[in-house]
Amino acid sequence: MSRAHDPSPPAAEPIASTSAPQAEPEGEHAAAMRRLADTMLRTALWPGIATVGIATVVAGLVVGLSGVLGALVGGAVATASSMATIGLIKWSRGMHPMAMMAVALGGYTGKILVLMIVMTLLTWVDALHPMSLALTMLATVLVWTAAEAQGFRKTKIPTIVPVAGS
Amino acid sequence: MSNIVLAQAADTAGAINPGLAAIGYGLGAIGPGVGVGLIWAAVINGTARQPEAQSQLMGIAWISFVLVEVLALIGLVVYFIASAA
Repeated sequence: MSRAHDPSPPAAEPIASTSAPQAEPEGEHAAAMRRLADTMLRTALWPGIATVGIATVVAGLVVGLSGVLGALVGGAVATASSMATIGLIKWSRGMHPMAMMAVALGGYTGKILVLMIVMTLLTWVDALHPMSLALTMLATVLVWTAAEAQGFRKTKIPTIVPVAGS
Repeated sequence: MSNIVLAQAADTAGAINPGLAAIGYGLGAIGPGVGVGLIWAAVINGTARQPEAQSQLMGIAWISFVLVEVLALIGLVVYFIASAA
């Protein structure tokens, strides 16, 4: 029987063509990377925000309004930069290591390029106190990184795989 | 005469040529770039030898990537301080 004369729609046809595509089940390695990224973000977010807040208060007391603005912008740039790396981990979690190398190097290059353009443009903004911006950015990046390293320790990923029976 | 020259040198000692700061930052970004490449080369080697250890190697690689990347960000901040002064 030809399908052209069959009035009933085929039962096995996918009906989800207009809805969201179903997500493929995540592999073991991808799940581990997602867990790592989530833990790093959870561990680093609040210390980072606290650092920006403290730096903003200190800059406000020492420099004034331009210091507050500089500290806020510096903290925002540092937070965005750190979160971009975590986003990169989550985005590339299912990739092959060779593709991930390209992603990591491309992400590094792109981030450094964008940050250099942003920082160069910020040197022309007179409303921002440069030293407040720079020191807040430095402090935020260092605190984020330390907290991310702490988050990595929390995931308990073994760095040495013990051999059974040894 | 030498006192005038020394006074002028002292006045300009705090200011760094912005172009020089940019070159210094570019040089400083090379090290982390090499580091990132070495990290992922090691991951590829390790995964080829022991594919089941991929997620462990990836986790170590990403946290190393973050630590190495901070060096470039510190260089960026130094460039900003030097060029904005």
